[in-house]
Amino acid sequence: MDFSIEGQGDEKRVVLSGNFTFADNQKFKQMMAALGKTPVKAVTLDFAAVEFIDSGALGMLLLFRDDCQSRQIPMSIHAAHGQVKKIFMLSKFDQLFSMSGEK
Amino acid sequence: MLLTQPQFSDIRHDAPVMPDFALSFGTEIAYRADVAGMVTAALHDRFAIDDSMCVNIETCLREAVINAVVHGNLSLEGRIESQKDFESYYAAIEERISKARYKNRRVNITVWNHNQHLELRVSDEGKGFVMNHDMPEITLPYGRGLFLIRSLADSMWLAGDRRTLCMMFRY
Repeated sequence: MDFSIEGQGDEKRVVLSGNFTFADNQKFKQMMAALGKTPVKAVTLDFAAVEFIDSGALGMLLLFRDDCQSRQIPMSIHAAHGQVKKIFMLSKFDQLFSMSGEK
Repeated sequence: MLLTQPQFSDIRHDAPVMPDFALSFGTEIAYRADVAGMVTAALHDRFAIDDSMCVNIETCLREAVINAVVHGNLSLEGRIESQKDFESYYAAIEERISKARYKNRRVNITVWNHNQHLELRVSDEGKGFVMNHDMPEITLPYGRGLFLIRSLADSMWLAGDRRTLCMMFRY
């Protein structure tokens, strides 16, 4: 998994790409650290370029959600599709996250 | 035989005939390499399984291999409830995977193809486990691996040694 953080103001879009799996713990830590260094009022995780996800990644997203909640930062998931959307739905992520732009 | 048994019973003491293929990986390779992707690509090519089924198989295989490595061969629990737990968990994986006692253990993947059914077995050299049928608590960041397999495979069960997770897919 790779990521980039976009957005000039304090509303950030994290663009993820590739497969997001159990093995991406270091990238996930880097992403959280990068977001922690700048003022953030809202975060959108963009999954348009993510093709595959596993339960390890679901766990990381839930830790990220906890972190955002503790900092009172709204977070949302955008453009989940294919296998990723299927796994989110099986895991009832639509009840935990604001989701938009699904394909 | 295998394919007529009821779904989701915990343990079956069957002994399948010769597999269509079998692979064995050391713990570290099973953890670091894309074993599930490689095996799924081989199944796609060899048995002409369609793409949507391959995605389900790859998802389940990846969960089964990670379980075999982390909870089986490395004997680690997976209760991650905080960022601190998360860091400790991955540190423990790296620490154990470098020790001969753990890294020399094997993860074995065996596949049978029979009458439009694929049976995959993933075994490890850990202590064995008990199948949990509970729905995972949706806000907890752990405990979804077997749930995903149960949701995507046509059936899932444990072989008699409790160290072999078996999955069946109709295609």
